[in-house]
Formats: sequence, C-alpha cells, structure tokens
Amino acid sequence: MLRIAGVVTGVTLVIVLILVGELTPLLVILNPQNGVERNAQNLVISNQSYSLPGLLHKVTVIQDVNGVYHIYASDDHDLFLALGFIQAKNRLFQMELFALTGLGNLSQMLGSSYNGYDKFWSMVGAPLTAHTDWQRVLANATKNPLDNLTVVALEAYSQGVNDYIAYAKRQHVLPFEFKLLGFKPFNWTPVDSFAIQELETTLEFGDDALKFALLYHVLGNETYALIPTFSPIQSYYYAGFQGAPNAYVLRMSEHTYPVNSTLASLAHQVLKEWDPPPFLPFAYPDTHSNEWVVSGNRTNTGKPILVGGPVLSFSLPAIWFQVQLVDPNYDVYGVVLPGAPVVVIGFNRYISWTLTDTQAISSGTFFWDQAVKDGKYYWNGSWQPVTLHVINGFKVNWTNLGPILAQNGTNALVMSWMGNLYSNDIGCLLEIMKAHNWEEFRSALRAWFAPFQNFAFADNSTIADISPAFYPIFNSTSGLPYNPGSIMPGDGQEYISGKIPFDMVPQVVNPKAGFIVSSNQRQVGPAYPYWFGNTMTFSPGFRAMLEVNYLETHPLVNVYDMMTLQSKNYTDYEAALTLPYILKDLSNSSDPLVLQALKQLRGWNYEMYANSTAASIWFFTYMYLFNETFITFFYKTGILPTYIDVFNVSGMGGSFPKTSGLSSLDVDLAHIIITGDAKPFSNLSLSTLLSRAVTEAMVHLKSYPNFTWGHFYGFYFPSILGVSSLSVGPLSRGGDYNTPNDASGGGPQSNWPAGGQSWVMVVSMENVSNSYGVYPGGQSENPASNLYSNYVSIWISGNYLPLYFIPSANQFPSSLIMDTIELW
Amino acid sequence: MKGVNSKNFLGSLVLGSVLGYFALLTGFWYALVITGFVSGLLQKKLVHAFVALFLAGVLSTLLVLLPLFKDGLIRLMEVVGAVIGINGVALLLLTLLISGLMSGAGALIAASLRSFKSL
Repeated sequence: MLRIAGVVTGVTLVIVLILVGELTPLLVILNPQNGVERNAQNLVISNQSYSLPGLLHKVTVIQDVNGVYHIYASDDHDLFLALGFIQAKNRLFQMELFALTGLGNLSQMLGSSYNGYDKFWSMVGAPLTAHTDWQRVLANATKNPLDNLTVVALEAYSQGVNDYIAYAKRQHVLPFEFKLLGFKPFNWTPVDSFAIQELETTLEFGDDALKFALLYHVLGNETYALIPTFSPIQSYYYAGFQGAPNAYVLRMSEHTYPVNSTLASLAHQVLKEWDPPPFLPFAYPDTHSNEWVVSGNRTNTGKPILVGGPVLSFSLPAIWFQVQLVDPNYDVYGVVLPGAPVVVIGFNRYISWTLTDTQAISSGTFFWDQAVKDGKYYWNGSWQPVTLHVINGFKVNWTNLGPILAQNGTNALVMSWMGNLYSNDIGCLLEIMKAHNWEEFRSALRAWFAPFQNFAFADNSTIADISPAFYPIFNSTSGLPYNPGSIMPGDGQEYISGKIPFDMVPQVVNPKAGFIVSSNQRQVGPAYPYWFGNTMTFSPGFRAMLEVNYLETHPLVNVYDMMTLQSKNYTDYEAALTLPYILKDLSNSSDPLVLQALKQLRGWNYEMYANSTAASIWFFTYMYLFNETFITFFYKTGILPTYIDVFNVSGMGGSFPKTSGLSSLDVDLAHIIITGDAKPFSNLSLSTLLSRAVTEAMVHLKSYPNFTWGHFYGFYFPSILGVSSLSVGPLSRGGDYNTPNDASGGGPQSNWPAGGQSWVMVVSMENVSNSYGVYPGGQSENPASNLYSNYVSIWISGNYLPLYFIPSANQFPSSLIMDTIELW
Repeated sequence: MKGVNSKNFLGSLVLGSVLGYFALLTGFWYALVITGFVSGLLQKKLVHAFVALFLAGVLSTLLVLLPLFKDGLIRLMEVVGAVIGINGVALLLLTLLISGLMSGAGALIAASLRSFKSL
C-alpha cells in the first residue's frame, strides 16, 4: 500500500511540476541554467574578449571610470559593428522596445492592451515611413555617398546587435525582461534603426492645429486674441527679422477655415486618441530644451563654448547612451539613441553641436477637411481612389494628402505630417559626426527634412545656429491661403506648393551679440516673409530671455559659468518680468492673506530654490491667476466643459498635475499682467483677479505644514517597466517651467514631472577634452547593475562629469579605465 | 534519521547531486526527475529516498548557481522579484524547492518500484 502511495505521490508531484511549467512561466524564469539567475553574469565588470562574426579587424573598447564606452576600430564597418554589439550588451531590451514602438508593434511584446497605440501609430504612417526610408536609402546607395555611408553604418550596426543576440542566446544572458515576458528578441535590421528615427521625429508631431480649429469653431475671431500669431512679449529672435509683422503672413494667420460640427467632432475624437503611452521616450518633450553658444571674444579662453540641454521624458534606463567612436574617419564623442548608430548631440576635435525643437510651423503636422466617398477622395474637381495600406494588420486609407485619421459620412479628417517625408537623418548625423567646420556641417543638413530642429554649432572660431527642415509653403487657388495652424480645406484650393529655401530657413553665423540662444522660442521675428506658425507651439520664451539676459550682462564667461547657468540658475524670468507689476497692483490691498504674501514676495529675488516659500507663493499665485482668467473664460464661452478632455489646461505649460499647457496662454498672461488689462478674457480688473489668485494660493499653501518649493517641484525617474521600486525619486531640486532646469517636460501623467534636461553638455572649443556633461540615468539597463542609475545623483545636484576624449586606446590613462573589452 | 543506512543515503545524495549538476547544465530542468530516479534506486525506504534526493536536487542547484552569487545574484533576484511582485530571496528558495521536488519525486518513484521488485 505504502509503495503504491509512493509511486502515486511521486508521479503526482511530477505531473504538478509539469503543469506548473506548462501553465505558468515559473520554470522558464527560474531555470537555474538558462533562467533569470544567469543574468547575474551581466553584472560582472571585467576585462573581456569576444569573437564576433563579421568583424574584419580587432576592436578595442575601453569603458572609462564613469562607465562611458570608447570604441577604437580600424574602419567604419568595424566601428559601427562594435557599437551595435556594445549597445546591445547594455541596452538590448530597451532597443527592441523602442523599435517595436516605432514600428507600431508594441502589443507583440507587451500584450493586447497596447493595440490602441499600435493602431494609432500605424494609422499615422510612421511604420510605413521607416520601411520606405530604408528602401530609398538602399536604392540610392550606389549614387549617393550619404546614403552609402548610411548603408555601411546600419548594416554593420545591425550585425553587431545580432552578434550580441546570438551570444546572449548561447550564454543564456538575454536581458531578464525578455524571459519574464516570454518574448524572443527579433534580429535587428536597418528598418529598426529607421523606426527609431521615426520615434525621434515625434519631437515635432503635434495636435495643436486641431485644438486651434476647435477654439475657432467656438470663439470665432476672438481666437486670435487667445492665440496671437506673434508674441507680444518676445524680443529676441536668434535669426533676426525683428520689425513690423509681415502683412501677408499676418493676414494668412488670421484667415482660418471654419469647420462644420462634423469636422469639429472628428477633430475632438482624434485629439482624445492622441496621447502616447507614458513610457515613450519622446512622449512629452514640448517646449523645454535649451541650447546656446558663446563666441570666443566673450569667453575666458578666447574660443567658443557650446551648451546643450535637450528636454525629454525621463526613464530608467535613460534614453541616451554615451560613447566615443574612433576610427580613421571618425573621432567623435556624445550621446546616441538606443538603436541608432549616430551621435545625436556631441563633438569631435573640430566642432560641437546640439539640438532643440524648433516648435515651428504647427510642429510640422497639418490637417485637412477632405471629402471621401466610396473609396475615393475629392481633389481639384475630380475623384481619385484612396490608397489602402495594411500596416500591422490595421487598414489605413491614404489620400494624396496623407492618412485619413477619422471619417463621418463624406467628411474626412486627413493629416499631412512632415515626419512621413523621406528624411535620412541618420545619414546627416553620420556626416556631421565627421565635419570639420561650419560649411561641412551646414552642407550635411541640407538633407535634413524632419523633425524640425535647431542645430547650435561651434568650432574654433565660429558660432552658428540653423533650423533646417522641410518647412512647407502654403498656397491657394483662391487668393489668400487659410491659416495652416488650423484645419484647412482639402479640396485642392489650398495646397503645399514647396518649401522654404534652405538659404532662407532660420540661421545665423557669428552674430554681433557674440552669442546665440535657441531654447524653443520663435527663431524669426514678425518680419519673416514666410508663415512660420503661431504662439501655440513655440515656447513662451522666458528661458531664452533669462539665458540672453545672463549672456548680455556677463561679457566674459567660462565653462563653469555655463554649467551654473544651465543647471543651477533657478531664476524665473517671467517672475522677474511681471512680479513688479503684481506688487504694484496689489499695493493697496488690506486683505491679511494678501499682505502676508506680499511681504514674502517683496523680498524675493525670483529664484525658484527648493527651500524658498516665496517661490511657492509666486508659482501658485500665477497658476490661480491663470485659472481665474482663462478657465473662467473657457467656461463662459462653452469651450469647457464640452472639451474638458482637450482643454484641461493649466499655467506654465501645464505644470499642475494631469493638465496640459498652451504656450499662447502663458504669453497672454504675462502680457495681461504687464498691461494691467485682462480683456477680452475677463471683465474684472487685474487687481481683483490678482487678489483672488493670491488668496487662493495662500489658502492652498497653508493647508501644508511646510510649503517650501521643494515640496512641490522635483524630478521622478520612472523605470521603463513601470516598477516603482526600480524607479528613482521624486527628488526635489530648484527651478520651474521658466528656468533652464525645467521639470515640466514630463507632462501630466504623474504628480511628479518625469522629464527635464535629458543630457547636459558644456563643450569648450579651446580644448574639447575640457568638456563636461551628464545624463540622469546610467549606461546599463539592468536595474541590478551599479551603472543603472549612477548618474542621477550627479545630475540632480547640478554637477557634471568630465568627458574624457582620448584619441587612441594606447593613450588612455590606466587610472581612467574601468574595464577593457577586446572584440576580434 | 532513524534506521537510515548512512552509506546508501550518502551515496544517493552524492550521486544525485553530481548527476543533478550535469543534468541542470543541459538546461532541461525536468532532467532532475530522471537523476533523482536513478539515484533513488539505491534506496529502499521511500522517506529516505525522498529526503536524500530532495537534498541532492537542492545541492546540485546550489552548485550551478554558486558562481553567480559573487556576480550579484541576490541583487539581481531582488530586482526580478520587484518586477514580478515576489521577494527576491523567496524566488531563489523557490528555485531550490522546485529542484528538490523534481529530484525527490524521481527518487520516490524509484524507491517504490524497487520495493515492488523486492517483494
């Protein structure tokens, strides 16, 4: 009996274990030989050697004491292959996640809950563009050196990534996330790198024109007071064209196509679908990045200094990966994106460069009211067949203008997104990486069409900035074109007739001022002869004003001054501009709460320090004044509550949790405070509005035992897996929406902003080896690694790391080496 | 353990551990059932067989994992545990438990069959 029981028990145990293995991933995950335990090997930092298929010569990779990889190769092929291998070794899961995001295939990895995103992204056209871009590069490779370079780099890079995948499979050290998700990594191809480029293109991808159309639908011409074409505040335009507004441009801007209720409803529907998944690397960059260059006659060394601070959503692992790439053609240092083998922001021995969003021309996203019936669209008096694309299993119809986003009856809302234009950004950056001077740099950018970016530049004797892109010119068969910053008629009367010529895109070289600032503010003044957008998309410009003011008042600066300005200057320039008016306006108040607030504000120096209570009073006063003025106006006019999901806005770019921003309104509010007139938005006097705002602010703040600014402002670095224990923060720090150290880029998905200057870099052109930079994250994506988030504490304290720019492996000081990897 | 033939017990334990170690290296975890079965044939008593080979399963797994401890296995398992919502050390113990049960189950069947034969 006992024996039978023994057999039965044994067999039952085996069956139970098999069932556990079949029904749960437990046995796959915990398998001692090839489960997650094996990934501990990835944590080892030591000198290693790998034999890689496809490598032509030996490559030496040195990881410096800060974790940065320096790759020394004999030719381009080996250089990019090694980069692919090293990047995959550190970031494979993130790379594949990004590629699937760019290809609209996230549900393949993360499950059906991402179907909505995949559908939207497929509909937008980006996956299709990634494929067609690569096919075009491949087809042109024999006759176009830029495309040929791209093919060499991407094919070698893909091989390097796949070499790592093969190695990791053999050694059972694929990132544990794959094992947990039960997802097998796909082999990398150049299309995946172009999918990453498409993700980058979302830096200029906006729905503001739809919002404008809804506002105009409700407000009519009053919209132009709410969304002025030109800022009444801005005075610094890096590329000039100050002066009286160009009459044609102004007339065009205030000539908006009136949409009917059906189109308004379609616009509303699309706006509600627009939000990207929260972990997207470029999810909420908006209007926050910084760049400036200072000429040699204003620096202590006599050579230019370049400063870069692109604001992107934060994540752990961070979006950037820091490298130096060296071979006979390249010797370049900077940050690369996971999955694209190009230094996006960085320097070589001769030049340095950085990027910010232009925020121009409706973020390159245009919408049309087009008639579509029975599989045909109407254009120029005739009906043409729509083109059906099946992307990721989703059917998307395209007209001549772009994808149909929504349709009701014969009314269709169609989008033209410049991100769907052919643009070999990877090739451009490969050329930039080896440029020697401004001419070569500028020439490489002729092929850059999207996303719309400002490129700051410095070499030994030149400072410059240029905003190259395919900026469309609109024309109309019936005279004045309609405002492209709203929905336009899609029957053929209005059309894109070309692009702003390259020589006319915003640019400046060695300006008299001795510096250039391009921090998302409008690049060109009102006299610019082309339609370049309205105040809805550009930054209100207060950061740029601060940076310009600092540089104007400091005739001689050094790299340390620039680091301090970028990371430790917490002056809110909007406060500096408007608070004197507020204090004057409230000077007669006898309300005890107002008097209490005024007492603190009078002694305040506009610094948004974490330990300042006056900073909190300013911020909440401003935010409640915003609400008193605009939210009340929105309710009065019927915009709210009808469009609450679209216009749930707050001041300072949407600095209240779970709200969004409208740049125009921040410009408007500053103007209202300065002029003392809130009309047409409110019939109340500014004093009344201000008294209410201050009172609300004080009541709110007094509900906290301690209301120093650090209690409300800080940074959160979320794990890419969404696991709170693997995230870092929130960590308080000074600054606000109007300072270079801006946390508002993270957007409304959490109470603590999860975005900011994703890479801070100060390059001295006197000797690029004396340059500094850091990004909040770490080189490894493995949360158990010491290199997962080790830069965060440095970044949060406003400090930098030296950027070791060493020309050869032999010259690398041993004291700076963490480990050496030989690839052969 | 009362009535334990220490020579057989130890023999099973050592044999089970060595075979288990090599079985685990194949990556086929269920192979521990087979190594437990083979090593369990040395035992007559069911309980002794189960205990010896359970321990052998645990031991062989520890041998496989041992080099990983210095690489940061505990730190890694804490991270994995955070992702899936289980304590990291508990995950490691679960790994050992599963190995023990596989090996022990094999031994239980072997010892029972051996007893049948000896009847």
